[in-house]
Amino acid sequence: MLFSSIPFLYYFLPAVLILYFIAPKKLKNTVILLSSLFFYAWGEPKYVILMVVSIAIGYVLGLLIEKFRGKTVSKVFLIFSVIFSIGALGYFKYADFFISNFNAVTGLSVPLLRIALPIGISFYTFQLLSYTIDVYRGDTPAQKNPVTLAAYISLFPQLIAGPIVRYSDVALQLGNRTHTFAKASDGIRRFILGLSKKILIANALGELCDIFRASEDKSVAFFWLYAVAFTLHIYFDFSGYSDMAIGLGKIMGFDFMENFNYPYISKSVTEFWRRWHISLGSWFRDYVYIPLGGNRVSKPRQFFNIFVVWLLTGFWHGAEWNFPLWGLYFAVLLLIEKSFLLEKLKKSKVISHVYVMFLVIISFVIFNASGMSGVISDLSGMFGFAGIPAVSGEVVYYLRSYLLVIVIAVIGSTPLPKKLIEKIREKETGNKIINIIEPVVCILLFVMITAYLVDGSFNPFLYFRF
Amino acid sequence: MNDKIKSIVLTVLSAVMLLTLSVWCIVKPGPEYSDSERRVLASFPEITWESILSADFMADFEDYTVDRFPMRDLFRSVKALSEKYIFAKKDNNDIYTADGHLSKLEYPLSTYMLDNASEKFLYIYEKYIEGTESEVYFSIVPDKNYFLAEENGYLSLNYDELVSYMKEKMSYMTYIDIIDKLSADDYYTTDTHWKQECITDVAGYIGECMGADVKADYTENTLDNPFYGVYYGQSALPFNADTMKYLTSEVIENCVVTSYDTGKPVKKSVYDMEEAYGKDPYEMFMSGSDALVVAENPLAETDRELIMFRDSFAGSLSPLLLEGYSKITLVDIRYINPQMLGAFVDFSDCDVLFIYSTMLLNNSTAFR
Repeated sequence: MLFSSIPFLYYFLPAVLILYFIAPKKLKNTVILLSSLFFYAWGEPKYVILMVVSIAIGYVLGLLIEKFRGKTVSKVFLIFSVIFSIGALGYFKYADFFISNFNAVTGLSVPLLRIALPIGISFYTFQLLSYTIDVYRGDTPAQKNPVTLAAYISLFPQLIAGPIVRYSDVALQLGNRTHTFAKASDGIRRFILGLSKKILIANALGELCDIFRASEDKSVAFFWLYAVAFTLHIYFDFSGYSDMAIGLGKIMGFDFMENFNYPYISKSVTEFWRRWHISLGSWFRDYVYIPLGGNRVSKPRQFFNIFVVWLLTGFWHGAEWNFPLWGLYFAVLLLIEKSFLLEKLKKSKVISHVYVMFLVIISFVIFNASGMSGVISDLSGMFGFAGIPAVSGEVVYYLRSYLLVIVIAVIGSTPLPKKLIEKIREKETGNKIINIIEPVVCILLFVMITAYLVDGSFNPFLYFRF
Repeated sequence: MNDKIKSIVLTVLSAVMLLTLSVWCIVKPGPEYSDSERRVLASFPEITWESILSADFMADFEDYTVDRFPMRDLFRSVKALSEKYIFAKKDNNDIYTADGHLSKLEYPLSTYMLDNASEKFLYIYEKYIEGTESEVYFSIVPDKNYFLAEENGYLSLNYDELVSYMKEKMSYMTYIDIIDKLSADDYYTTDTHWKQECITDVAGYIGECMGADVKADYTENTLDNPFYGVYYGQSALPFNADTMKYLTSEVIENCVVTSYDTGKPVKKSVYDMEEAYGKDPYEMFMSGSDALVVAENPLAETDRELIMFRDSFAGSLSPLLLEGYSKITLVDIRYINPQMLGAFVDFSDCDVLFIYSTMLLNNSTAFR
């Protein structure tokens, strides 16, 4: 089930919130668990069993790892946990990728498995891994209550698209959390903001990307318009989803980590990755990079560690060669910055910002390409090697049509609006005015969001009218 | 308002809106038919184990909740107004406003579609007309984007290319160019079609090209109900209704119309007043979109017959050609397979006119 859907907003969410708030404290996690399983089963009726089995194995292994902590057998259970989690992810996400590449290299024709990817498997697998690893390290005690652990893993606000919430970050909240109007209204505002980012901005930019893909009148300018639109689209889509997750979490008393921090204002690629998908970056840092030795090793080994982390980061995003290429692209950029560029970038804010945005835009073109041939074709189009005109009639029309959305998206991807509100709030009158405007704007946005969702099935029967 | 009160107000307002609409969705879902979209909306899906396990139920349920959301048309208007005035989008669901008209983007030109259309026409020509005494003509009705799109900065078909492409493909027919006889004012502002009262000169010119005198003195009649065309509902924007007029003459009033839409003959009239007050008033002209319609003119001073291969634009045009013919047969090959035509239509000695709008030519998969 998607947050940005009528069934979620007007059927599932009200029912769950009513049940959640009328349930006694000790049953709240049970409500979360059951509603999360329903939420997951709505989109993946069959794969809910996989998730339940994964949770059950994680629960048992967590207890065993803790029981035998300090002994070799504890490590064996951890290894089993890692193999099971990575194995499930590998099987469901990468099996066909490896088979097709094996076929391509050997000339054989091993049949593809054609397995549907279980939704959210990349996220909940990483949460389970972080749990068992943290228990092994002694960073957190194992969860004795299976309902609580299952509620954490399946927690519907962040189940499908993160942020990747670590067990240690919410362990206390799972047992004891507070519910206040202040927290609930913060959550509501954040949820509506995220929903608005997704539906009003990201979807419009996604529509522009789809128009570009379908166009038969491509031009160099259209390739660049697409590249900019997709760069903004992916930010508003993904950060919007994170906002919704954080907001829903707040309504139910949780405090999830921030996942985005205005990445497009970065002055270096290094800074960009401190601001983009923070929960994934920190997961790889803590569970892959540092265990490999991190920075405290020789330079060649450190470079090797960085390549491994970014290769895995790329693969985590998808089973096509453009994803590891995307990861390695960042590995190279980060190494260059680490070696000498970072200091030079500090000299000019404008140049460093242009540098980051140019490279980030290129990166997302690689990310969104259809395999390696798509990467070549898209980059050729952008840099004038595709034998297409510089400008076409279509790009002029769509630029004019989507210009305001793009401008709003550019401004919205900076902290400017937030800073402006904070500035107004500094004065008492300003604070009062904002407090009056805020609920009105939130409700108006909610009406607009509903309107866009309702119009989503607009499907006139025009056939006979021609 | 202090922070605490703001928190309470926002929480309560959101909860009230969410719960009110949620209960409304469940207790009183919207109607089963959408007049504005002219389609049946989704029904509550059947619940079976198979549909649940395959997630088909969930997908169908989502369609149902969206289609039957309370105040659907109002919400669609909110979206359309937001797109136009907040985000300054040039079009909403491809519908745009220009020069007081609502219109729909028709872009790009598809030579595949033109080829498909011309192949259908060639098939009909070779099977029924070639080698007979009949004269064959074709004409293209420009959709109103021809007059509105390019000059208002919207994407537009290359109409010159479309016409020359079709002329080349259909060189075995005589082309009748009516494009320069039309302007945007000749079309309804909220609909795709032309106004009958504005195309008497077009009818006269077509008749002249086919050697038939179709001129007549018409009486202009006005329907007393507002006409909200197909783009009105699709745009979901506030827009004034059109006025629908129809022309009558002694010939038209005495004409006998028979529809063979179901295979059996059904007597009708040139102007169906039941349709005029129905969901789509434009269907009043010559039985709307029926597959095969024959109009006989008992007052004709000639025995000439006309067969029109047509779309809905010809519905309002054909009555204006009746003066010059004893019989007009309207064939809509979107609804009748051309292979079956021989059983119903005699092509031996008549005028044959293929008249189609640019929109249908560019979307010709609608042909059978």
